[in-house]
Order: sequence, then C-alpha cells, then structure tokens
Amino acid sequence: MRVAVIGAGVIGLSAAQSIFEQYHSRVSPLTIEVYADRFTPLTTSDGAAGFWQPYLYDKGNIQETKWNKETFDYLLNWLSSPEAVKMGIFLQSGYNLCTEPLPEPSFKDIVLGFRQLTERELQMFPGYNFGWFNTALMVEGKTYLPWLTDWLKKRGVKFYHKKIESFKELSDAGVDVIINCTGIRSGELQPDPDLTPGRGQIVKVDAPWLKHWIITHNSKAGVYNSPYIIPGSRLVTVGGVFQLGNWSEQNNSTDHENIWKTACQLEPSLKHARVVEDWTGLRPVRSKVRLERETIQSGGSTIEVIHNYGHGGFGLTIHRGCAQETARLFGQIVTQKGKRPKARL
Amino acid sequence: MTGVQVVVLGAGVVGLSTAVCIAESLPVCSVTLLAEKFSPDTTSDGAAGIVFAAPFPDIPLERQRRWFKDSFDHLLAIAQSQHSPDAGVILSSGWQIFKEVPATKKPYWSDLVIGFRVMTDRELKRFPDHKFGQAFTTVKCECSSYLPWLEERFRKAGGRVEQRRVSSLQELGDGFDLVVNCSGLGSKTLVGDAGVYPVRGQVLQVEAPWLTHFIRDGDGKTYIYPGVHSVTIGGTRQEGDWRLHVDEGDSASILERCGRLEPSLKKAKVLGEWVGLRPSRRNPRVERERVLLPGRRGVPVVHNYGHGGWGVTIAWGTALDALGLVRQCLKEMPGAKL
Repeated sequence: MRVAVIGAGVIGLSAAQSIFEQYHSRVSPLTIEVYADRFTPLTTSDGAAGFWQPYLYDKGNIQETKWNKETFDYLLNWLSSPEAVKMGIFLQSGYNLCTEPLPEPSFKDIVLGFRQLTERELQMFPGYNFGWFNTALMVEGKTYLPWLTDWLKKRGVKFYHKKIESFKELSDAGVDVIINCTGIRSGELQPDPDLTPGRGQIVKVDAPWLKHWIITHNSKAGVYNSPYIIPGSRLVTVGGVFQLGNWSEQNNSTDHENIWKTACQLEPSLKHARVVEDWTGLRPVRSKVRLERETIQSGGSTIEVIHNYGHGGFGLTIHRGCAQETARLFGQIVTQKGKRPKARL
Repeated sequence: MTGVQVVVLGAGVVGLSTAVCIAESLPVCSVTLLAEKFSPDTTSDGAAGIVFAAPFPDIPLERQRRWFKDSFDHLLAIAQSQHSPDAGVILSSGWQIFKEVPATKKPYWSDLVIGFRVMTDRELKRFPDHKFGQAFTTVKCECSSYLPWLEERFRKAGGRVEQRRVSSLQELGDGFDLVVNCSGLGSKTLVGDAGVYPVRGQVLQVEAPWLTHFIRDGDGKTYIYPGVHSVTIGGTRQEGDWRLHVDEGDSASILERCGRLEPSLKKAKVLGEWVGLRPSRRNPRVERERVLLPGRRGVPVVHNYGHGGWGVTIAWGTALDALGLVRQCLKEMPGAKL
C-alpha cells in the first residue's frame, strides 16, 4: 500500500510515524512518502515556543482533551530515556495568571503537580489575582521535527520537496491513501470556511536566567492575545498576539512594541535580555480539529483521504493523540481494501 | 561619635553580606573589607547557591527561622527585580526526594519558601528509587555574580576593599575600633576555634540547558541544580577532609548518581569541576565578645562564621543579626550617641 502524507509539520511527521509503527509489519509492502514545500526549520511547528498546554477550556471537545492527554503521557514516558534531549523534550514549571478567578482548566489532571497559586506567588505578579502553578512539558519543534524526520528516514520513509496541487494529482500517480496534514493552507486543497489563520508573532530573546514559563490570560483580549514568556532550551519566546483572519507572515513592528512592553511589565529583568529575532506564524485555527476520513469520488475512481488539520495553537500539544487516531482510521481503510492486517498473536 | 573604623574580615558571601549591611545601615561607620581571597576564588563561588536549610542543633528555632526568612525575602526581592541577571539571583523550582519517608515531612522552612507541598504519586514515578518527595520554589544565588554585585553595593555605600592575608587579630594594629570576623574556615586559626572543621564538597558544572528544575536527594549527597549558564551537579560530604584538588573517583560517582536521577545528564558535556571546603561548625557562631589585643583595652569583635553548607542560605539573615550586634557594640563605646 502506498501512503502519501502532505505536510511536514509536527502533524504530518507524527502521523507518518504512527502509521509506520502500527502497520509496517501488518501491511506489506507499505510505502510512506512525505510531500511538502516547507520542511523544518521553516514550518509553523518550528517557530512555536514548543510548550505543551491546551487552551484553558475544550468547549465540549472532549476528544481533543483525550488526544492532549495521550500526547502528554507519551512525551512524559520518553523523558526517562536519554533520547529525550535529541527529541527536544524536557519538563518546565510555571505560572498561568488570570485577572479574575476562573474554573479549572481541561489540563489540570494531565499535567504534573497542578495547584492554585499562593498569595505569595500572586504578589510576585502585580495586576493578576488568580492562577495556577504546574509542571508541563516542552517539545521544541526545531529539535523534535529533525528527530522525527530522522526516525522516518531510517525506516525508509521518502521525503519529497514538492507542493501538491490536488488530491487527484497523488491519486493519479498511484497513491492509495492520502494523509492531509496541510495546516493553515488546507483550504488550497479543499475549501474549508471553518479554517482561518490565528496570526501570532513572537520575539526570541537571550535570557537564560529565566526558568519558568509565565502565561497570562485575559478573557476580554482572548486566548494568546496577552503576554506570555516561555523559556526554551536556548532562547526565551516572548509573545503574544492572536489575530484572527490576518494572513500576513511579516513581522509587524507595532506588534513587537506591544509584546515587548507588556512582557517587560510582567518580567522586569527582560529589559536586560538581548533580542535575537522576531518570528510570525499562522496558527491553523478551526472550531475543532478536522480529523476524519473522506472518500472522494473522482472520475471513475475513489480517493481515500484522512484529514488531520486545524490544530490552532495546540498542534505540538495534541500531535501524538491525533497521529494515533489517524493510524486507527488508516487501519479501517486497510481492512476495507481487503488487505487484512495480520492477526495479532 | 564620628568615623567608627570597622574592619570586616572575609569576602565570601557572609563577609560581603555583613559588610553591606553595616555600610548601608550605619553611616557613622567607616567600613573596610579585608580578605585574602575575593570572588571568583572564595568558597562561596563554587557553591550552587540553592537556598535551602538544615536545622542547627543548638540555635533556638525562632532565630533559625528568622535567619532563613530574612535571607529568603531579601533574595526573592532581587530575583523578582530587574537586577536578577546582574546579581545572579533567580527563582528555582524543583523537588527534594527521599529513599525512605523522612521523620520530618515538613521542615522548619517549609512555610518560608514558595508553594511547598508533598509530591504527587505521578511526580514520584520519575524517581523509582524514592518513596517520598517535596516540591517547592526557592531561590538560587550564584555567588560568582552575587559577590561582585554586593561588592559594588558596598563601595557605593562608602566601603573600602583591601586585599590582605590576616593570620591573627593582633596584626590588625590599632587602626580599627571594631572587628567583624567572617573568615569562615579561617576562624580555626584566626581566632583559635577548634570547633571549626571542613566538610569537603566536590561538584561538576555541566551543560544541560534543558534542565529547569532542581532535584535533590534528602541525604544531601546527590543533587542537580540548574543555574543561569550551567548546571551544578554533586556532590560529596567528606568531614575533616582538607583536600582542595579534584578527585576523579568523586567525579565518576557524582555522574553516576546524578545520571540515575536524571538520565538526560548522560548527554551533558562536562564544563568543569570544583572543590570547596564547607566552613562547618556544630552551630554558626553569631555573637560578640571583647578581645584583648596588645596595647589596647578590649576590642569589640562580632563573629559571623561557621555556616557550613548553608552560607548562601542564611548569609543575609546572619548579617542582619551581626549588624544588631555591631549596634550594641557601638552603644557601649565612649562618645556613643546612638
């Protein structure tokens, strides 16, 4: 069976990994190919801070909470291996700050050591009077994606630097199943009015004395539209903006000024930090993740597509859960195509 | 009374903290800091500087709590300010883990640090050899930055610094009205305190920027302390051991023990090794006395030494105590107007 994954961000690469893990011994031959016009370090996943945290509330999308948990537990498990460093994963604790009391977030039982902030801690952050402390995971795209790429290449997955213009293009070439992980540009392959960019801009600075992430929440401003400071293994990511409908991938100086001003208020020591670079990315925002099969009739033939896109600002957070689900859907297709998976003994 | 000449002996974290407290609070004093070694060559420089304490047997608990609280609050204020990177003082969260459940689950300082709680089962899962743990946020004070920062503060307050080795109080001559002794391990010979002894500690500096939490085994011998530019891993506690050179066997043991707690350390590059002698004593000596020096009536001496491995942790608190003792000495001086 020939599988083509379109998109080489964290979603595409992890989907390829899950399919290989679960089916390489059951389907023979299994050819997996990854097609993309952008690879690490130029994908949306690469620019993101790499911080595991879902939005505070899943708005009833309990499936997404399940996938987030699956991802956290999967990454946490890897921590006990020395491989963790090569994957770009590590633990980091920090503060979620709110201007008013809020209900507990969807991730409270997923992360480690979740608790409310003490009076003393709130005094450290003037202007915020409620919040939580917990230990979460970092998964840095610029390290994780090369690790995934390496993992896949070692197992014979082929990579092609090519922009796919249509599903039909791949189907005509003999691909059996297409995994659509095209993120924000999914609309180019199939119009999706529910998919819209959530433009984000960040400033990367050198401030190695910071060892905690700080995320502020302002219900009026909306998610990620208030300051956050996320130390990484090399640089600190300072944000944030979340501009729905803004397709510009250019850094904006007004956004830079606002981000910097509010972050320095939050963390005064930042004024000594050396600014390294700005980066802009378009979060692939959707009301909920599109993770489903679609059988497209084209001419006389059918094209099997599994969509896996629309992960907004939580792609790294949810990737493994979605990848595993993608593999499960792939299994359905395999069964249907009569190539029964070998019975598990 | 004008120009009370005060000499502070020792430029480690205790000496500098005490000198700053006196110079900033008592304008009537003219303070000179005398020491043989300055940063980066003091015992304090190699210490990881995580603020964390163990109880002393004979000091009243309230005094120990005051030492800890005064020091912690002082350092926390720096960590929260724009001076944090300059002073080398940062917030640090992490875990203290125990192989056996300890008798005291909540140490005397648990309400003085931030967010102290018992670790959850899931958190303990990462440490299969350990049965109990405490999670909290404290501060880390890196003396290689903090000491120069304090020295700057000292000079701004009018303090004078002089590099000189002093082997006895007699050597000080009669230019000083009051002596403040912060000579750490040196007090063994300087003031003949047989109760002072070294506890040798060896540490490695490694490059592991992905480590953000401290991990300490409750036995105090194995610890991982991420700092601003490197991670300090250790250690050893060798009582009565005066060796200042690196022991390869200790390095191997440290790497093995720390690697078991944190497997990713096996990928860390070793940047350096360091040995320090903790200036230990049954209890720190923070008290005053009158010492008879040749040709003079009793000279007031305020002692502030013997902090063992807890120098950084209680330097500021004991410095404030020493400041109080200096004030008492000044009251008793001829011409005192305080």
